[in-house]
Order: sequence, then C-alpha cells, then structure tokens
Amino acid sequence: MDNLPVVRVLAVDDSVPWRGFLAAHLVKHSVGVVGTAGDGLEAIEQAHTLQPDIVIMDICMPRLNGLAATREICRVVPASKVLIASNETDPLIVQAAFAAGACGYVLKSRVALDLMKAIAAITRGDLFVGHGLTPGAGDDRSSEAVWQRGTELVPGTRRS
Amino acid sequence: MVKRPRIVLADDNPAILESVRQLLAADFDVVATVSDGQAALDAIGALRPEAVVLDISMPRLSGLEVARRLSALTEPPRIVFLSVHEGGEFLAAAREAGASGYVFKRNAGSDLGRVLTQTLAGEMAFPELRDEPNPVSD
Repeated sequence: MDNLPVVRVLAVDDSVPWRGFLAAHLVKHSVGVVGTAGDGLEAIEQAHTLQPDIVIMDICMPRLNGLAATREICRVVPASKVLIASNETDPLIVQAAFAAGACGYVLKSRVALDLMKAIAAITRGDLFVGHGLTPGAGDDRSSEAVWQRGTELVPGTRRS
Repeated sequence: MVKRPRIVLADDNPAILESVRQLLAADFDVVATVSDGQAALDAIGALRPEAVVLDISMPRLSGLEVARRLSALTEPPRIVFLSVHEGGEFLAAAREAGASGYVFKRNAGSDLGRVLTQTLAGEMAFPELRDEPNPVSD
C-alpha cells in the first residue's frame, strides 16, 4: 500500500447489522474502522481510548443519545471529529447536532452516496451537510453543502 | 427510543413468511406480512415502510410487477427480492423493475439482513453470477 494517511474511524450505532454494514462500506473505500460502540456512553469511552480521526455517530441510541455523546467527545477528545449518520431529518435536530460540535451530518438512506464525501470534507477541515438536510428552521441553503470551517452554520456556535 | 427500519414482507408461502419474520425480528420492525402482490401494494401504500422484501412468484400480481409499480412512486421503498430463482435473467429483471437487492432463498439466513441494511443505506446488493466476469480482482 501507499503511505497515504489512513483515516481511523470509530463507528457508533445500536444496530449490529448497521455497524457491520458501515465497517464493510468503509473498508471498501480504504477507511479503517478501529472500533465500534453500541451507545453514547460506550462511544465516549472508546473515543477516549482509541483517539479516532472520525466518530460516525447515530442519534437514537440507548443509555446516552448521540447528541449528548457528541458534545462530550468534542470536549474530552477534541482531536476526534464527529460525523452524524442518522435517519432524523428535522432541521432542529440537524442544527442541534452542529451546535453540539458535529462536523458533518448525513442521512442513513444516503450513506452509500454521501459518507465518503463527508469524510473527505471533514478530513480537510470543512463542515458537511448531506443531501436532503438543512440545518436550522427557515434556513434555505440548498441541500448537500460543504462549508469552510468557521462558517456560521449555526449562529453563535462557531467552532474554531 | 431506538427506531428500527420498517419492513413489509410478501411471500405466498406462509412457512417462509413466518421464518423470515423471525429472522428479521431482532433488527427490523416487520410491520406487515402479506401473501400476494396486490396485498403487498395495499400494505405498502398504507404503511409506508422503508423497505419491502418480495417473492417473485405470487398470486394476483407477481413480485416483479409490484416492484415496477412501486418504482413509479415519488418515494418508493427500497425493494429486495427473496427468491428461489437464481438465473441471471431473474436478477436482470429485478434490477430493471427497480430492485436494489436480491437474495437467493437458500441464503436468506446469512444474507437477508445484511442486504436489507445495505439497500437502506443506498447501496445496490446483488449476488454475483458465477459465469459473470468478476469485477473485483482476487
């Protein structure tokens, strides 16, 4: 193999088949899955231990949901970037995810098309909002967008 | 709470319906099991599942015809065929009818859950035919 930097991913979802799918999909695209977690608490522990480049995070999970886990991971493992992969399309939830510190958000039904684009954008330091999503009520920016880091995606929650 | 993908199953063999329902129960929410093509269309229209598992040979409407009609909808469910037919002509017809996955019945236990998950994520998941050149090098 080349000496390309390998992106290390932690896959977080309570569905075992979904975690299996993510691992298979990422391996096909030469992205390494260094660990998995089945809920938000486990995700925080694993992120702390493994220091992944990217945490792919579901929202609806037992014990601790993905938004709370995202907030905590961004605080205690700032080197890890969080990419949400969820079925939730509500603009307020998308907005809350970015407010919690997520760098990207893709719909599960669009993972085959959007996930690698999102990982590339996030790795560059950009923010990614997948097709079919808009962050925040009344935000009319068109779907699937990449913003430079520092873009005021959610007013007042800019991450440096 | 945790939301599992909602699935409709259609097969005219009740024993297969029941075993597939049990097979998927842990990871999917099977919202209806029906035994002919027209009942499948009715259930899908009423319940709006994320995915549907269709047999090919069914009374009233074949699975292929069900798939064609679903594909004409603005937001069709993901369509997976579960069939005893293993010939390339059936795989091609399934693709043409708008399916995104195909599982041979003898492989249901090992493959159906994985294929459903793949198609729900927007991937295509068809078995490879032995006499077809393999695009992935060994």
